[in-house]
Amino acid sequence: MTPTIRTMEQWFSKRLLSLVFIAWVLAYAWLLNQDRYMAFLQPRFRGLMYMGLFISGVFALVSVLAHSSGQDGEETSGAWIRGGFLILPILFLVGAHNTTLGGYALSKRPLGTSVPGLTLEEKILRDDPSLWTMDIRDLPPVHEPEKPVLLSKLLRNWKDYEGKEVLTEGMYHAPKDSPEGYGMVFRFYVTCCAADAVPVGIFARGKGLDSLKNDQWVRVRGIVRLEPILGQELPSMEVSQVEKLPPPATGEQYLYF
Amino acid sequence: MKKPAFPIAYSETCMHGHRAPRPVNRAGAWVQSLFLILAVLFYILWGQEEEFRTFSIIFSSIVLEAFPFMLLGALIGGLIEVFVPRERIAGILPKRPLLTVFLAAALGLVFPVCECAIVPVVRRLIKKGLPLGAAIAYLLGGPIVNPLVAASTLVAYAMTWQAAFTRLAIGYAIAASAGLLMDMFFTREQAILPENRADHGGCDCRNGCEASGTFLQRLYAGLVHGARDFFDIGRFLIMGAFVAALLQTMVSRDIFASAMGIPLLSILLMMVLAVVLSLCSEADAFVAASFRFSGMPFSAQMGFMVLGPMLDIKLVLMYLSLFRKRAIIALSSLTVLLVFLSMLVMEYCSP
Repeated sequence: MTPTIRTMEQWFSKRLLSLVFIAWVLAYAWLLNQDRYMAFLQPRFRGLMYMGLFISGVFALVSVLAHSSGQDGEETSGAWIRGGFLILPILFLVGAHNTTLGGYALSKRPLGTSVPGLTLEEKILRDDPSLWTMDIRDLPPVHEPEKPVLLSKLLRNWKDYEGKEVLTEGMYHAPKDSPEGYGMVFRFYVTCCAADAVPVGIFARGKGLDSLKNDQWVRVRGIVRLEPILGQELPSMEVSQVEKLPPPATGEQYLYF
Repeated sequence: MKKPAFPIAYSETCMHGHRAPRPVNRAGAWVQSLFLILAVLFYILWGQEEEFRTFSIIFSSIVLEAFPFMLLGALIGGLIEVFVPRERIAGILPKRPLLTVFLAAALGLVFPVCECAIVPVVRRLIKKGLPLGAAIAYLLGGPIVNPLVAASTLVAYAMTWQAAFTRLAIGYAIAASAGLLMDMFFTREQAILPENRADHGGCDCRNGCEASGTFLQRLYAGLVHGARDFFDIGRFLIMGAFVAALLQTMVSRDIFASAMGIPLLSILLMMVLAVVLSLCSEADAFVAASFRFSGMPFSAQMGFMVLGPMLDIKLVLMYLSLFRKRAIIALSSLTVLLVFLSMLVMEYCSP
């Protein structure tokens, strides 16, 4: 090892504790700026982000003070490993902040597509994760003139919409094993973080869907009804109009409990 | 060398003359270095793949959700270190060990912490002389037997209080049982890593410094302890989150649907899912509740909600900073067994 590299290694090594916390302070500030954290977490966890920022800031400050007063001594080589692990998530955060869960995640998670009953008791007996949400955040529509119905709202109030023409939005995905001509329009529900996201959506068939690529955001119009799909009566849409949409802003990609 | 104004650092230069904390051992260092290198390579080589993007989002979200709680836990642990003398802990605890364990299992009701925050807190309490059984009872019970978890379970289960009550009651019983059983089979020396024991000569404030210095000096010392603790054990959380995210990305949750008709298999699979998902105890009820609409037995949902806060991938790795490997294996096996048996009783014996 050359003297320059050794000097640098010693310089960083002695300041590793401070540098890790400073890196996390910057990461929290970056995540809070423009609500980037919402690519990963519920909006109501904003307070949690501030808590992380505050404690990281305090730890960074005392680490710097401890270093400057000579109280933190020499670091062991293991400190590099500890520091490396603590920095690692920042790399992944930066890489993933402008992406969203899509068709691949959909293929790994059960889809809540069935229809609610009218009473709470009936609803509880049915297979629809959206039903046990008491307070779904009503996100603003992407486009104003005609307000699309949220997929969650559509499924939660199925009786009100069944047999009628509906405009809704979501991601399009055509699984390889879906019935011929059918794809899905879906979105993800997030309880706390993207790790617990549950997809919710409806089957869709009709003109204009064949040309879509998977994970394309779409606004679809059509009549919704129950259809026998894969041995079950499931909500589906006979699509009469498809419009491609740009991906929504970070905070509008998921539906939140 | 300049003498520190206040004893806070655990290093070769410690004013107490104690040795540095246990360094990462050679084999561990190699494994962890390899892990890090592979993670970075993984990022560089597959960064554009959809599977990788899914993984990145899940990994980042687990870390982001857990980090603030772990920071808080490290902060509380550091403050306990300097503001709570050992004698105070000994004075608070009942004289009878059995009673101490039962009390510790319910401590979360007044001192609620989630599973990410509890490890650094328990680590400090053990250093302050908390008995092994009581430490384990609090470690397992704290993230379940607490008002925040009760509230989230209530909301997730549409205000069905039986679900919340059952979860807390079973969590309490298992935490207390595990504490008592671990106390029977292990001594402190056999279970706890030397640097975490009060009888060991590492450099912490147990040697009287909590009673010395001004309030600000002690506060400062507590904060540095907290920062050090976080730096010391944070990597276990990252490794656990990484493995959990990898499994979540690769393994389809649909395989769990195939076992819904068989309660015994459902319980086992939901327990596996709890370990793999590594969700926060204040969020997992919502995921468990999502399974009830697809016919998953209540006992299996409960198995998921009781085991998850006690044992998951990131927790097992975080236990490495606290216990010896043999004790971790025993504690993990015991927890799994107790949860499984409780759920079988619930499934087959409850009205």
